[in-house]
Amino acid sequence: MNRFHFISAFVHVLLFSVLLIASRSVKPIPKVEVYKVSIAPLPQPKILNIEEPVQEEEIEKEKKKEIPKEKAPPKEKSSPVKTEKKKLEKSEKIIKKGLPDIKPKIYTGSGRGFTYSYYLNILLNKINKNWHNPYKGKDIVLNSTVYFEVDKKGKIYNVRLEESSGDNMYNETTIRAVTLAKKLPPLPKEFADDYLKVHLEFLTAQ
Amino acid sequence: MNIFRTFLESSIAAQIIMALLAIFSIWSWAIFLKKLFDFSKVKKMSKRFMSTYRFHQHTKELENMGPLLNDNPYGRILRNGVEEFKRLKVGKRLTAPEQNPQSSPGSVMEELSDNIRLAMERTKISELAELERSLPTLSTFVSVSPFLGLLGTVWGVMQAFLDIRLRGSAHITIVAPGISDALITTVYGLLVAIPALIFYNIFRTRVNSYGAELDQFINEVFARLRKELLFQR
Repeated sequence: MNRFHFISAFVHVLLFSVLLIASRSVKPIPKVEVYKVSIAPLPQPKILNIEEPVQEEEIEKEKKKEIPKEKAPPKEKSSPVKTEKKKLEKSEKIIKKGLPDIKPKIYTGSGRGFTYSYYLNILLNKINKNWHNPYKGKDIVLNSTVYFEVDKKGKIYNVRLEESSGDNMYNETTIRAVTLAKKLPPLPKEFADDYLKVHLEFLTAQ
Repeated sequence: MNIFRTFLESSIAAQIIMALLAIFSIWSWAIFLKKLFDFSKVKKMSKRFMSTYRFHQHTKELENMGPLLNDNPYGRILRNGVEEFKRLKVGKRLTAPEQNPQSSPGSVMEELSDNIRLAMERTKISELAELERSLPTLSTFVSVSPFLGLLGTVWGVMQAFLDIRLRGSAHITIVAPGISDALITTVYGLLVAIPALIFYNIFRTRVNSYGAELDQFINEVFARLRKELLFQR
């Protein structure tokens, strides 16, 4: 060790100090909320290209439609009445097997398709976390539909019960689940509309 | 990027490697500073010596250059050459032609005059060795640092894959920290190796050019002393 080693060590310490100060002065990267998206387990939500929200009759028809399969095409039109009954039976069987019990129907403001399944997965996950089904595991089949809108920033508003299940407590839990979600990630930038209309069907499942 | 946080949050292996690299870095910069100092000193002394040397035409005058014969490589080479010259001159007087009738005194002296060159060459080699000292260490840092950094990288990547196996998930949040740790050691390795390589090349070139200058000086002095030894009485 000679004086040059000390000088060199001093220069290094100086350099590191400068780097340290410089790195502290740099603005920290804002924390980004991370939404975990699991593509595989959730079924593809049903996406409709209807300009205006459907009337009550249509909603009833929609209810009878099958629960979408994993590889179901996003755009699906109503099927004949005979097949509907069969599909309804099938869907009941599926529900009893314990598949996810939230079923969304998505409408866009302009009638264009909402093809961002990852966003719907986030939406469903968040609401599903907030929903405590009071009849979980019980042999009771209830069905209620909650309507709400999501604006560009992901804020949920205009939450209302669209179709009652007949059980007040059950209805309350569904509205509460949506209300608690409060804020979702902003709508995809590529999505041109100002808001997204969601008709969310809550089903009890065994 | 906070360098200390990166250091503290990395694995033990990466920390050891980074500490070693820091030592290498300090060491190589110390060598650089020392060599810079040595070379500037040698250059200054040599310049002073040469400016005096040009005005001394006779060998006897050369002996009277005092401290200039000791404080720089040129002076030391000259001193050794002159000392050898004096020894040969004494020997020349002792082996007078009448004592040794078979051999021609001129040819013997011509052969022996080579001793002057050899003495100066020996001094030159030791002077260059002195200037080259620590350069092998610098060369070692140049070679070892990137490999050490690479070792840290491989280790970090290995850890990242182990994490994937243990947690059963290849999510970016599991893989990214390991890879980040891994890459930082390579960065440090290169940060040590690149300056060290530049220093090494600078000093290697300087030593080589200085060696050539000394060779030229040796030839000049040798020609002068040899002439004096063979043709002057």
